[in-house]
Amino acid sequence: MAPTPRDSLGEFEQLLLLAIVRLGDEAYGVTIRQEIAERTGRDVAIGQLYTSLDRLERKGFVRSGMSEPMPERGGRSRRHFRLKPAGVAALRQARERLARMWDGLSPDLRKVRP
Amino acid sequence: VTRPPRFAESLMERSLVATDRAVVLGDLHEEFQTHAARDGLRAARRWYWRQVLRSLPSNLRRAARHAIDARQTARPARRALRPRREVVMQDIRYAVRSLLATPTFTIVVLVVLALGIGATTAIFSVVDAVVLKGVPFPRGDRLVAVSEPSAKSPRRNAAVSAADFADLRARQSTFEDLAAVRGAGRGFTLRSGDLTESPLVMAVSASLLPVLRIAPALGRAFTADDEVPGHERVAILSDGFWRRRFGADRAILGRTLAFDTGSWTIVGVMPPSFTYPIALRAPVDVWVPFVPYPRDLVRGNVRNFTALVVGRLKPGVSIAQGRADLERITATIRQAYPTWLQDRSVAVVSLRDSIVGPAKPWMLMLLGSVTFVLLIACVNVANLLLARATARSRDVAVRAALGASRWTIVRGLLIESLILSAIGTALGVCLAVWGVHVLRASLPPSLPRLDEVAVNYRVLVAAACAALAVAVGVTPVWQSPASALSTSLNESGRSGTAGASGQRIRSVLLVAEVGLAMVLLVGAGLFISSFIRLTQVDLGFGLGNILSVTVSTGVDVPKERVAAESARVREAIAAAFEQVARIPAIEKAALVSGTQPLLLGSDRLTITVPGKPVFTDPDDYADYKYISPAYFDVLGVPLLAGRVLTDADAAPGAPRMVLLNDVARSRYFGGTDPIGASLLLSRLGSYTVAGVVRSVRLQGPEAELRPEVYLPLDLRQPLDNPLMTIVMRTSRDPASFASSVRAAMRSAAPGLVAPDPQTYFELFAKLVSQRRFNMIVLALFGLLAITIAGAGIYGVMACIVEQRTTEIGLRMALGAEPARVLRMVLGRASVYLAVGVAIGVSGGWMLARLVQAFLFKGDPHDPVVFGGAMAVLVAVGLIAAFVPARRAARVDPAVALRAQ
Repeated sequence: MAPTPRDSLGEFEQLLLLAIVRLGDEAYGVTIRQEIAERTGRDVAIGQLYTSLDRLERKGFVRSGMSEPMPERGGRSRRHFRLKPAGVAALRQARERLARMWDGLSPDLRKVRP
Repeated sequence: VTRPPRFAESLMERSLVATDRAVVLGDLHEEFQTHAARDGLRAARRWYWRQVLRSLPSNLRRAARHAIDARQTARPARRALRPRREVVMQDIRYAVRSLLATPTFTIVVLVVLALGIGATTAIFSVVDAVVLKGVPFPRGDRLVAVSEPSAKSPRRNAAVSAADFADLRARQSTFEDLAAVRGAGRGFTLRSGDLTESPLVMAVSASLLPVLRIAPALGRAFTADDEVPGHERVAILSDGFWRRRFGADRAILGRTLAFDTGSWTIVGVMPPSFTYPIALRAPVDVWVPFVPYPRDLVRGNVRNFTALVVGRLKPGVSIAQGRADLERITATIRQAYPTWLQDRSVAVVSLRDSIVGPAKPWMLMLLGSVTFVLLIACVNVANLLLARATARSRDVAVRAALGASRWTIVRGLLIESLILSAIGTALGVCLAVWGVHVLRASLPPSLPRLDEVAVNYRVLVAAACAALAVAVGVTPVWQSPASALSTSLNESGRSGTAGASGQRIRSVLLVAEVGLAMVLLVGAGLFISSFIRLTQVDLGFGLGNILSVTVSTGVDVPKERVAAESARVREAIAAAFEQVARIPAIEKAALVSGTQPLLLGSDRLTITVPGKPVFTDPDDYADYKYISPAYFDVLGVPLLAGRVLTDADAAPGAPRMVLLNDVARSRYFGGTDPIGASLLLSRLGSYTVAGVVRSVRLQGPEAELRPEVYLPLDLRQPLDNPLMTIVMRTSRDPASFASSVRAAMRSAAPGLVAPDPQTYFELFAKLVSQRRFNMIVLALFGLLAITIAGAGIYGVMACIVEQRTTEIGLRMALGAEPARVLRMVLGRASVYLAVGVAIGVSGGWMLARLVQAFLFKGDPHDPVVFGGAMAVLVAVGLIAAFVPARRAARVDPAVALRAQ
């Protein structure tokens, strides 16, 4: 799996990247989880969160760095995440693909009979 | 700042990859604080746990991948040799699936393993702590107990006289030193306000701590100076007493204990684990110097053998040499004082034996039983695995024929065995922990070192290894080389039944299992019938609705005040008794001298009847008690002749009358009528017999019926027994009146120190507790044995039926009736059962003699027990075989043949 920006993003990866974008400087484990939970109602297991973030980092979509140790974390550091240009490109591409697929359809899919 | 639940946190920490740890734990920590602040600590902890449990699987997957990545990069050369991870995972998955596909087999094996490992470990842990461990002193194996046992009762009264101790200690040459311990006697009551406490005080020679090689944790040991009369008022405290009474005050040295006998200066505090003597019911609170009274050092008429002596042998000296040394000294004492040691000798045994000796045979019996259980379990597992292997030999042969290497096949089977033993061991550990807990609570508290009992992990590992060895050892391909696989393919292909040799081994194992179970069942039966006999003994009085309480009339005061003080105590008892008798629910109440019934101890005297031959045997004595008139009414003991004693008999100047029991009547009067006859009671003088009552076993079902004399109780006179018991018959459940009795006694006699009243049922239960425990343990073993054996029979028969489905189908297709098939399978099982039972009965017959000592009367070869055990085992065996037999009878020939 070469880290090319052409890799398509899974839904969960998109959620993660979007959360990081929204949070800006405040993007780290706790806030990312909260952001996703508040906006989508999805409670992400912490293990899953970091597995996926690590994968995104390997693909070159995000980078991360450690903060100073903080007392409210029991003297441990935060790992802050930030988007890299490839991540921005991947998000944009994903949105475009979806938008193309949605083109001409009404958002509530009224005509579809499941 | 609140902390997340520690265990959850450490669970998380351990399961995380090192690089993730700080970040993930930090996140959880931070979020935990938020939750705690918002929803409270409980909710936050729940939340934390949920997070941890949800993350565990993915964490572990990640950790495993990480570890493999790391190893592969570190040692790329070995990579090719290792079975790939996926292959091992596949093996595990395959094994789990095949175990789940045969749930009966899996459950039976797991239950058997868990029971075997758990029970063995629990019992052995107890035995190990109580019997097998050494004494808790440095080089404890060099310590010996010295005693002067009497020829008549070697176990009782095996203490040493103070005079002999002094001589032995001064003249011996084989010991580093000898030390003596004895009860410190009376007068050690501490009073502060309303509270009185009687600590357990032992008098020890200054040599004790050097002999044991233990030093006080605080302060100093006793020295020879403390043994000089007049200087002996010094005390060393136990750690427990120091904490309880003085709040572990380190400035305790030099303070005094204000006993009734005067004040004693505290010079030391012992370390926490120390107590001596070890096997006492309660730990010692205080040690004081052992300073014999001058009269104790005179070898005269007072035979005061009261000191327990312990010695440390010099290096290189054997116990026999030490004994010879002391015997040499004793011989010279014997020469100088011919009557002093006439019925006594000197004994030297290792301290450990002297402490645990009495419990040893009993513990070894338990150990033997538990070994049988483990054996049955192992045989059973081996048998089930063999049966399963036979069932799968075709499958294995096909795989081999298709090119699976031998290692591949063995690996698969080994993994299956490993999974089984791992889960079985885990269940066994739980069972062992629980079992030790239960055993500790239910063991007789008089066992030495019961508080040290804990799960013994070495034993657990040993038992688990035994199980593992069995599981792995019988993995079948192990025994049969690859070439045999084709044989098995041929064999099973042709006949549709299992190979003959495999079946023979399995039959032998099954028979062995039945035999072992039979032995355990006989043991269980013997103990159960013994206990039933015990509870059916006619005590001569009813246990129902009786409550009793014992008070002490003894007083700890200087000699000149004893008379006045004891008169005051007797008045208090009389007042308390009157008050108790007034409680409406108490129908009748009586006073009796001595301790409560069903506890040991009695007063003795010798009886002479004028004109009859005099009994000179020193063992020929009668027990005597002082009673108030209602005593026999309360107990429900019938009067056989004459009249009972009344208050008038107790009045001063009244004719001196006594009651006899019927044992005393026949002993001292033969067939003649004793009413009105006169008796000479040693010490007490001449009395006239007023009546005869039925004999009772006041000291419980195991006591002999003994001659007894009852004298009228007069509380105005001093008594020679320091204890006095109030017995009461209540209208309803006696236990519910204990508190009102206590309250009545307190209001009438506030100064009287009395324990809580007890019902006769409670006393009886305590009396038979050791036998009840034996019965329960052996019954449990029997139950275990029969459960495991039943499971084994079921498992093996089920396998046989499964393998022979084709054959059975063929028979039925050729016209065999279902009933005949049923008979055939049951017949096979009966043969196994019959042979196993026969072997078990003969084994049980031989072993029964070994347990005779633990049984209450009765014949260890009781045919009812043997017959009953046989019936139970055969019944369980046939029921276990019936289920697969019925399955065989329902085989549809068409289906069975098509399956081939």
